[in-house]
Amino acid sequence: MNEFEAIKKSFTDALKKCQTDAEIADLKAEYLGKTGHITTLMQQMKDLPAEEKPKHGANVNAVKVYIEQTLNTYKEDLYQKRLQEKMAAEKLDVTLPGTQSSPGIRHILHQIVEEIEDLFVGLGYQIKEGPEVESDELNFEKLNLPADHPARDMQDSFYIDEHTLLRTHTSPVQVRTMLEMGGEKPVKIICPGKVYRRDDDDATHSHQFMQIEGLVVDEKTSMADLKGTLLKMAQAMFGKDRTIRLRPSFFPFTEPSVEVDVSCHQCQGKGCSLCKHTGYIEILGAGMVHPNVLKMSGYDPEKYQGFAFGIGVERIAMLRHGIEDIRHFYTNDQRFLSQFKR
Amino acid sequence: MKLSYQWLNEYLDCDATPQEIGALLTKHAQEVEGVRSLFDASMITFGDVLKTEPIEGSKNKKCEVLVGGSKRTIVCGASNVAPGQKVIVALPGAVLPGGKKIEVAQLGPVTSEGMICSLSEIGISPKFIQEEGIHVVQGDADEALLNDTVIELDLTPNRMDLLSVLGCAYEVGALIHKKVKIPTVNLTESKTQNPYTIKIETADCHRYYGRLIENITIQESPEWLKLRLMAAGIRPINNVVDVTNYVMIDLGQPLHAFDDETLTSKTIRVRNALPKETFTTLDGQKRTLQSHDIVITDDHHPIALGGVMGGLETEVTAKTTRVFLESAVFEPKTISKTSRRLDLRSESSMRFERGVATDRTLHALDKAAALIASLGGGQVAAHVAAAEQKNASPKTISLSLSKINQTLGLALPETAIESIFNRLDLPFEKTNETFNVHIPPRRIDLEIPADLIEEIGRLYGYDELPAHLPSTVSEGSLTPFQIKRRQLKTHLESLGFHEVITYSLTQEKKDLPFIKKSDPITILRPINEENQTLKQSTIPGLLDVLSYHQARQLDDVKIYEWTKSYTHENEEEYLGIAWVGRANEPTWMKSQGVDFYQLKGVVEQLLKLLQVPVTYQPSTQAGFHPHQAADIMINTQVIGQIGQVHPLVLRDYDLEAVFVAEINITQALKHRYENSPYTPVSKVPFVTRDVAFTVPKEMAYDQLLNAVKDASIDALTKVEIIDVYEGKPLKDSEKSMTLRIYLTGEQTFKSEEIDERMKTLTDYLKSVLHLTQRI
Repeated sequence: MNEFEAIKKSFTDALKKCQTDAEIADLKAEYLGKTGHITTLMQQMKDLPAEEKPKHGANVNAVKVYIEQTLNTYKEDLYQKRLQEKMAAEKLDVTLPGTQSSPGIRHILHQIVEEIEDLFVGLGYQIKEGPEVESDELNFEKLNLPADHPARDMQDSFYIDEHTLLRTHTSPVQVRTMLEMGGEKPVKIICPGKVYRRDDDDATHSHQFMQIEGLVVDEKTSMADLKGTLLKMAQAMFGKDRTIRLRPSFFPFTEPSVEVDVSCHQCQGKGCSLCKHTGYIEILGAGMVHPNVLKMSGYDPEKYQGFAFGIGVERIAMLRHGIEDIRHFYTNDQRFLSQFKR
Repeated sequence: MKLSYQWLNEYLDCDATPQEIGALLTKHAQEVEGVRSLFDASMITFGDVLKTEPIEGSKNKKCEVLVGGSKRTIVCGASNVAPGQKVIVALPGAVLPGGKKIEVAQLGPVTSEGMICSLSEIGISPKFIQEEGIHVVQGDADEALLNDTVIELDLTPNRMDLLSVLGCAYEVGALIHKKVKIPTVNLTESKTQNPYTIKIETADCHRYYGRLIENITIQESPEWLKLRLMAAGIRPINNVVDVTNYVMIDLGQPLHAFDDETLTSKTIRVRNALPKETFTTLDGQKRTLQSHDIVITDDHHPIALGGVMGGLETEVTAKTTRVFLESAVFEPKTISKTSRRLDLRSESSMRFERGVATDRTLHALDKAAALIASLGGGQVAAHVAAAEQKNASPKTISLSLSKINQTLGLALPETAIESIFNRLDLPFEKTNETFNVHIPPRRIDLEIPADLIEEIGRLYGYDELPAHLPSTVSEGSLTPFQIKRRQLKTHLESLGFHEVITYSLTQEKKDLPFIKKSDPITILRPINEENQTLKQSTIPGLLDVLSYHQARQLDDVKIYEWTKSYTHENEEEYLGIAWVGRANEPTWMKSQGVDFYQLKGVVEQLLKLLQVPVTYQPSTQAGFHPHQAADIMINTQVIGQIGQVHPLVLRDYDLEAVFVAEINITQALKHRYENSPYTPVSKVPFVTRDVAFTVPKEMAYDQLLNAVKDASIDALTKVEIIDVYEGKPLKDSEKSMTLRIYLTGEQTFKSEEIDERMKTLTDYLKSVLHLTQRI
């Protein structure tokens, strides 16, 4: 064994004993460092005759390359071995559940409001909101409900003083919008919001509830437009196969007035307990805006006509999801609310 | 309105069944609640009781009854059964209310072939029944009376014309294309002159007619009349009262009968009540009147509360032989006011309130007088006592074909409109394309062209109407506020908060711990104690929801509500958040309880989304933990609050360790900043230096942070707090805070440039704050 082979062997033997990065670094210094074996071998070169120098140099270099490569391979192997050990120690039971972070849910009533808002925004409507503490002038007077009208009984509304009350419908927002428009521009709005009636709370009554009203005023707005619009809404709410039925009715702020029934989504109109075996369910009131209402809001009823409708949001939710008690919406039980995922 | 089908047929030759008419009414006129038989029983018929004999050992009687020409034996337990009676018999096979079946039955020694019925046994409500025991038929009665059908109409307030059988006949006639025929009244006047004179002394009585009927005998009404009244939902009393009710249902004109002998004069004055005048109504109640009430008086005393109720002293009794019969028209608004105030709502006041047809006053009076005379064996005196002061002028409404079609969205020809007016029996003439429609008194609900358009629309049929969308072209969009609201809600939901909606009405005392100054809007007549004022804070509502869940072992709850706060000054949009229980949903992994900083993190993110610059300062709000609460400030304005709710407040809700925040969105949005314009990302890497200070324990982080900002160090781009430490080796009065300073220059900094800046910073901090740098 020559000198070079001896160095290689001694290095290889020493390397096999290395267990830490520090030991490897020390060994590397011992062989490749400034005072290491390779340096020493290189220094011998100056004492050699010229013809032997290239061969010596090549031999030294070969040893150096061998040491470097062996060292790197050994280091990599050691690193990988340690990594394996480390990962083995990190073993998890992947069948255990992950960190739970379920998203909250928009209240079902607001989900429905937003659905209707999106539908109507798509049809070119603006969403208008307004105050809930309202004057009787805007809540009643300008909607063709004069002071002695039975619907204005103090018993039925939450009055705050003689001329102020909690709005009983979102119609005052319609009046406000028409007044803003100044009797000239067309109006195309829906008005969602909270409304209040002086009812005792029970399964079907709530002193506070949510309503969405719609209003279109223009020169040629017709009852056929109303019918088409309501059909669209009924289908968006209760399914694309729904049909609607308009029945004569009476509201002080519309003339003609209609109640609107939608074909029952549960029995497809065949008759079931939900629709009381009529095939239809009453969902809203609507009509052509009463000329007095137009006039009081600055529109000339000879030139302009309009339609309006109003729907209860709770009623939609109750029908659509088979909810039996209106109070659930205001109890806010998470086990109730979290069932209505979008 | 309960409409008897047989009664309707007195005015119309109906070729449609009651069910068909019901369906047409719902579709074209008014909602029909139900179409049902007058008697809820099958196989019932009249029978004559021939003889009765007791059954030994039983209260029952064995009756021999002639039914349809053959004799039957029927066992009857009623004490009033007697030979000579005409009764209603349910034959074997009959099904009575509740599914009760009648069969041939062996009752003791007797085989009973049917049942003699009381009215309640065949489905008549007890409130219409005068008698005890089985029903004894009065006088002759047509078998057909047992087969009447009642159409129950749910009337809207405008259709007062349908509060009479005649009014319904016009409507049904229009629907089935038949003309109404009005039978003439056969009234024979006696030689006696009606001695009464009428004086109207109030503007609220438009007309008042009276007749005198003499020599009558008060008795039970004949069967047909009783059954008509029961069909209409009115309890039979005696022949005179029954006739007044019958004619009211028939023609819609309320009538009142006075016992002539109880009146102290032959002059009837109709006037407004005097101050503090009292009057005892038929129901025995003594009423104190107000000057807007209308009273009918004899010489001086009120004898009736006009249009609302008669008087106790002048009512028709069994002894009455002479009747003064009133047929009048009163001002609807006045009747409404009086009946509401006294809570006296009768069939009569309801009709006056809604307005009666003014052309039926005399017709109704004569029809009733003739009927009373005929049923009571009396005579009608000659001459009608009458006074009237206001005759509504006939109304004509003009409307054009184009307006009709434009409103309905149709293209009907003139002939279609003409046909509808004819069906409704509305006289009209036509000039060019304009219809001039003459409104008869029976349809005073028709006031403006739109009312007639409704008549056309509903009779044409809304089912036939095309359905399309409005042609108005317009921009549809949410407002920036509405978009922002949806964004914030979605953000909170992605963080696990559920939206709730609570009632706006609350009690002021619940808000007080959470508001700086109370200015509640109070309801005049609250339903109950819990709903007296409008909420000024979102927090109590949220605490109620948490409390509800706590009581049901649901301990970890994260909720928010976006609602309003209401004061006399304004309504403002508020966002409230509440968090109780564990910060993360519990699994096998450990989960800590929520703390102040976790909720604050949520709030900070929200305010960044809102783009409003805020600071926090310790809060002294009474409802909060004194050392874990902050006011959220913009400049010097408080726009929200965050903190742990005070344990004493929570005690009232049975809660512990609840963290809440509330932001006045309306106010916050007034300070919204715009997004900063685009700046290129620096190509030079930033450098960081950590620096720790020992500071007094009370020093707020904000003070340190503000001082760092005030130092205005060049190229300082960001400051982070990376450690807060209390404990050894520091003194009890001290704590350590470690900042990480980010420096980003235009070129890479040399180390001395960094050191120089850090020295400037620390020197400045030492000069303005009481702190030492930790090495």
